Amino acid sequence: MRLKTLVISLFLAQISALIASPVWAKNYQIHVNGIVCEFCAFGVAKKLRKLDFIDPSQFEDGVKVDIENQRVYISIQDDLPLDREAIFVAIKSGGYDPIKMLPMDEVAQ
Amino acid sequence: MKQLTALLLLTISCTLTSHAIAHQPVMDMAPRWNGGYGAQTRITHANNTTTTWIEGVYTFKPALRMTLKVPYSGGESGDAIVAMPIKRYINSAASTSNWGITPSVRMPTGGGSDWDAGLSLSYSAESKGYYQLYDIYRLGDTTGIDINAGMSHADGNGSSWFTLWDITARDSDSGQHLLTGPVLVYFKRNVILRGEYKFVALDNDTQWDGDYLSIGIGMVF
Repeated sequence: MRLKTLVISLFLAQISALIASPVWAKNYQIHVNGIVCEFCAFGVAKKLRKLDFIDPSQFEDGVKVDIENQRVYISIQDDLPLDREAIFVAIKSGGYDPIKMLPMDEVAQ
Repeated sequence: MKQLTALLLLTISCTLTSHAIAHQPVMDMAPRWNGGYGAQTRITHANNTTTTWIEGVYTFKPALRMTLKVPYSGGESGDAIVAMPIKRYINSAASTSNWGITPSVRMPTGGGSDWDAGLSLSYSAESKGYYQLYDIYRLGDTTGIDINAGMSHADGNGSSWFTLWDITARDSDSGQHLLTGPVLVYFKRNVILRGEYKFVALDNDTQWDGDYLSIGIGMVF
């Protein structure tokens, strides 16, 4: 009985943690016009990885480029503020045009 | 530091300077980012001569690059070509394209004394699955047209295959020739491998003999 209560408590605690801090909360999707080539997109990923608030533990050193859907995914470190303008400048200097940026939890809904 | 490395690559290229097929974009697709640079080497076989090309590119900003191409053949260096591609990129929802105008200079680093000026007009476009490049140029006494068009196949993990068809037309004081054949390009992250074989479709050129083979490898940073 005690074990059952413990398991249920742990399960509820996990659910609470997930609700309080969604898995996608620090990940963002950016719609980037023209990004259709892996080779050409190398510079975008390179520029984004240089931003100090990118979390290199996620995706591929913090950045993933999806040329099938012209999206770039980034992960932001928990303890650092997001600088949206710096992200857009990085993508522009990488040779492409960022259109909009959404948190992944909004995209997932 | 990266500018220094790029300059070093260009300088190394300068030390290895033949007359050969003079014009082709240096990695047209990349680097298209500010401060990007790259180098590639190609080995070509045409006219019973094998030539090694050392090529470098530096991108000041997406609209402005500088390229250097140096041929080396039969133990001798040839004339280096410096060009400055100026591009206007158009990015749309699922494609990217650019118009380019490229002034160039062929320097007599191979031992001659003649300087040649050149100018190229180009357009390339890429969408999910397709790529095309059109380039018309004049360099010295040669007028040329290069066309690359075909399909791309990305694996979603940073690598892509391009299967293209090439048409190369040349008109110079020695006559005209037309070459055509397949091009295979493979990208993996920042590495590019390119192989092409072109056979003679038309040859009224007293200085051209036979088919053309090229293989190359390059990297961008």
